Amino acid sequence: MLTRREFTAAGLGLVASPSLLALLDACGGGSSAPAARQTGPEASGGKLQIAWWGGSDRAKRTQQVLDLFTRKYPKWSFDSSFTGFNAYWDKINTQAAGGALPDIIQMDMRYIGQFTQRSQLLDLTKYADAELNLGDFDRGQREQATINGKLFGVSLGGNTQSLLYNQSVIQQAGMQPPTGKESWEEFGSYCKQLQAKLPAGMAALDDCSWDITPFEVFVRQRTKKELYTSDGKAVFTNGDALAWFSLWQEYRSAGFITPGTVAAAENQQDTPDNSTIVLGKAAMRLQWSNFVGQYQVLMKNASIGLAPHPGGANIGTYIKVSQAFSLSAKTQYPQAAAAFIGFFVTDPDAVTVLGLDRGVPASAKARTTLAPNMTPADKVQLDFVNAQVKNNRAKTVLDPTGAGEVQKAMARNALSIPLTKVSPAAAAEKFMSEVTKALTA
Amino acid sequence: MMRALSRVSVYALINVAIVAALVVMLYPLIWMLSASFKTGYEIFHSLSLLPQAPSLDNYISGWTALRLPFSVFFMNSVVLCAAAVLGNTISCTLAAFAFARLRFPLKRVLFAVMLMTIMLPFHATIVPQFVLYEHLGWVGTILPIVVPKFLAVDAFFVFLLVQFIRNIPTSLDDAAKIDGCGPFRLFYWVILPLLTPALATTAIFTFIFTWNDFFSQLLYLGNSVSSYTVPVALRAFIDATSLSSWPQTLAMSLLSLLPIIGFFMAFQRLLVEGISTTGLKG
Amino acid sequence: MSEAAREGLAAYLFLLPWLIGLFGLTLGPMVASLLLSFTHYDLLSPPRWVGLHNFQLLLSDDRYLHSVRVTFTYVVLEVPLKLAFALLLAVVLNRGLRAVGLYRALFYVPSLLGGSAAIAILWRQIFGGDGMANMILTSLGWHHPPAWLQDPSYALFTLVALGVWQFGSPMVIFLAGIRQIPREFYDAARVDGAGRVSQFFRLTLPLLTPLILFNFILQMVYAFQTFTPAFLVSGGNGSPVDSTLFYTLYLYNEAFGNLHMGYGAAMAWILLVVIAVSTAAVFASSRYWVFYMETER
Repeated sequence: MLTRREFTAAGLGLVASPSLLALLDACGGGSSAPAARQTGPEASGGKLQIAWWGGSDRAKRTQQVLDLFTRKYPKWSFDSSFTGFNAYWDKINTQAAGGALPDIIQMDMRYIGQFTQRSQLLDLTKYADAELNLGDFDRGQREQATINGKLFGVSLGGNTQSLLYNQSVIQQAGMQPPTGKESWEEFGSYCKQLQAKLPAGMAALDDCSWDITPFEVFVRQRTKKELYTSDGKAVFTNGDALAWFSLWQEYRSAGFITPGTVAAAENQQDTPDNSTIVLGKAAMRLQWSNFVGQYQVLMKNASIGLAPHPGGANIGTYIKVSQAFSLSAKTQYPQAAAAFIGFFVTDPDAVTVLGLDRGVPASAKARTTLAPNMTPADKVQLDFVNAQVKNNRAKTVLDPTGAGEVQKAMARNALSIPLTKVSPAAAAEKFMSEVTKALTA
Repeated sequence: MMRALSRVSVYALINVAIVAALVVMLYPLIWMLSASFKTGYEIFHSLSLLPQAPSLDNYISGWTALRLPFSVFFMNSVVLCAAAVLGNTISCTLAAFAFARLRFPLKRVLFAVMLMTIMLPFHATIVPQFVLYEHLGWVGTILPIVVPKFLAVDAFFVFLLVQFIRNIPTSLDDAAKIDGCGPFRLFYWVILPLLTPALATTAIFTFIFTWNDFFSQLLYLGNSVSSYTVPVALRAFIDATSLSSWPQTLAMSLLSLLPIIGFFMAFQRLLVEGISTTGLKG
Repeated sequence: MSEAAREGLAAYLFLLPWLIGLFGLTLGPMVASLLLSFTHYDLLSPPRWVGLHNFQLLLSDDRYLHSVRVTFTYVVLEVPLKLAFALLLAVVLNRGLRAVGLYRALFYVPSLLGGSAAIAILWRQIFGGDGMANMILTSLGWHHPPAWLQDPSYALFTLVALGVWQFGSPMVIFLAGIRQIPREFYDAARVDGAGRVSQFFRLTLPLLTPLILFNFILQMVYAFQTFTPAFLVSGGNGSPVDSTLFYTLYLYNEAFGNLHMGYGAAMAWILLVVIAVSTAAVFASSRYWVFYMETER
């Protein structure tokens, strides 16, 4: 059992490498007086546009919080939209082009650099204390969304890379879950063993070759560096890409990953509702830790577990802001929107509704609120993140403009190996040329 | 006798073949109708066109699945289409009258230019148009879709109306001119009353095209759910939901087709004639 | 003011909305598009002149060249197939059937609805891995039919099928054309002992060639611009593995997704030129195969 104190402490562990000064600051808290609130949510009214990505369960929870806010501030209502991750970014990018971003945008760490570089986000620094209520916020999560000294996002939770597995299926196969200490080869043999005992139509491992996130872990393990340099160039080389594609090609020929067409379907519509784990087409997937709850809620007859990311001795994972809320630079209602975000991350009712869906909350108070009534899946997630606090290597370089395109290039080229019989070498070469183009344009 | 008999049977055979072809052609639509009354399980496990227990559940739950009811999206589409119809009929009629009945300098050149713009792919202008609307602050409103209609940018309809007006006998004009009618009164009192069928064709096709037009609605609308039109809402529907909500998706898709089917049934003859004479794409 | 001057003035008043649209929204933007195609422009900072750089980039952009291939494949398959079906059905429907009006209307229904988002969504269900098409194929004894939309070898063909399915609108035009062929021509042919097949090839087909030309150009121009089904069926990115990356889809993603406005403008102009050249080529070829009654009389 986890005590309340341990739970509260878990978030503080997310601090990447706090300087003494920073810690002091954090403890000092509200040194600047809260701003006057004449134009806050009480004073005026309007309609806030808000957009996020995610599945049906997240939509339900988020919508409930919007309703809570409206109940508290009846003059404010919401215009909300949600889609899968890829469709979300296609749409947000188009809206950004037209200068018509929603007021409140769910932001991903791969894109925040691009949006701030293009001055499309509002600096939230002046709202930090009064509206956003970040007094007890985890320093690390706050700093990740602070760029050149300006706060551009408010973390909705922290997460880390993991191996997500269908515990029930592995149990029925009479096996133990992976330990996370396996090298990629050992992990392969584990999967092969598992595959032999799985029902027909279910692969031991989802094809994750097209996903940039495990690739990033892989690169960090190999190079002991980051995915990108601080001036926005790729650290990974053709050799890294080739090793990655070859690894998955070996997995593929060993017959324990999902077929290319299944991976393509998942890539076409990437909500938890359509994931191979939920559809029972795969037993394991490399995934962000906060997905455990999203999958669990859709799977009544199985329990989901988390293990550390495979890959051996060098640590490749990091703890990150799973997603943030940012405000459009053009929002008409900066103060009310900021107050809403503050409500979203600290109001006890809101926090209770949201649970750990978007990761481990950054607010200490929020964690205290959640501690007594956590779902089993939330406990799994929290325990896992807690354990990984000492087993990760902080990410120090923000993804550059073009990182979103690199992500798509990875998906296309990785999938071309099973689907159009491109060789790993050719795929790696094409991928690297598309990376160069994406990062220079 | 033999010959007559074989002719009858040949006709019967042709009829059978045509009906068979029609069934194949329309099967997807019939299937869609049937699926919209089925459960998700049944859709993926039964080929029968008759739902085991037909139910309106998909319509009821689909109607509000995007939080706002579909009535909002239908209303947005109707408003958009109505504005487009109004714009197109007015502006295209005015231009067509000038081309068909009036003499003016540069007429041949302008008419040729008008004809050329009919075939112009919309991509040729889309980037600068977008930049223009962005600078005007119109992106996110219906203005980028509606304003061009009031400026007769769909030159196709100008052409359609020109052809129609040219078929109106000029003897009427001459009579009017003798009575001292100028161009404006000629237009309003003589030509306009005779234009009803062509105006109806223009209106209906504008409605259908605008209702179905996905690209510009995708590009210009849809930054807030309350401004979604039907196609944009359907797109959000498939992106946001999952395989398990196919029945609702199909139910809402089907509903989105009803206005077009309704117009088609009501004005079938007019529409088919419009296509036969001008090559309209449906 | 003279009568003619007054009429001219009135005419320009009638034309005013159209003229504003022509210069403000068509010709102006076309020129702007051409200028933009020589710039680097991301909407955020002013356009920067880069000369022919965008065009050079396009030539070395594998995805662009791929999108050209995808689009040409689509045009080359979809247009002739669609016209073949349209012609076949038009000829059959013209055999003096009583219900021809009803048949014609029903065959036209797919053309009416086909461009809509709803039908693209329906297609996505039908050709999904466990969609309706595969249920039928499985019940017919094909045990593991492909996942049509997830397999790059087939995804484009499902879109071709969607296009061909809409053969109703050229069919209606052919039907109208066939009806205008004077009966006496057929009577004369029959007197000469021509059978139905030879009547078709020696009479109907040649007399319809002007309409075939018309339909061909119309459908080709439309096919080059296909966007909605490609966008909705593929999930917006030409997936799987760019197999449905239509020209217009790539243009959309580059210009409005990645804010490469100059690049997108360059693509738009190339498309314009390609369509114009293709149309001109078809026209040029027409004197070898299009038969105009007047000249033969």
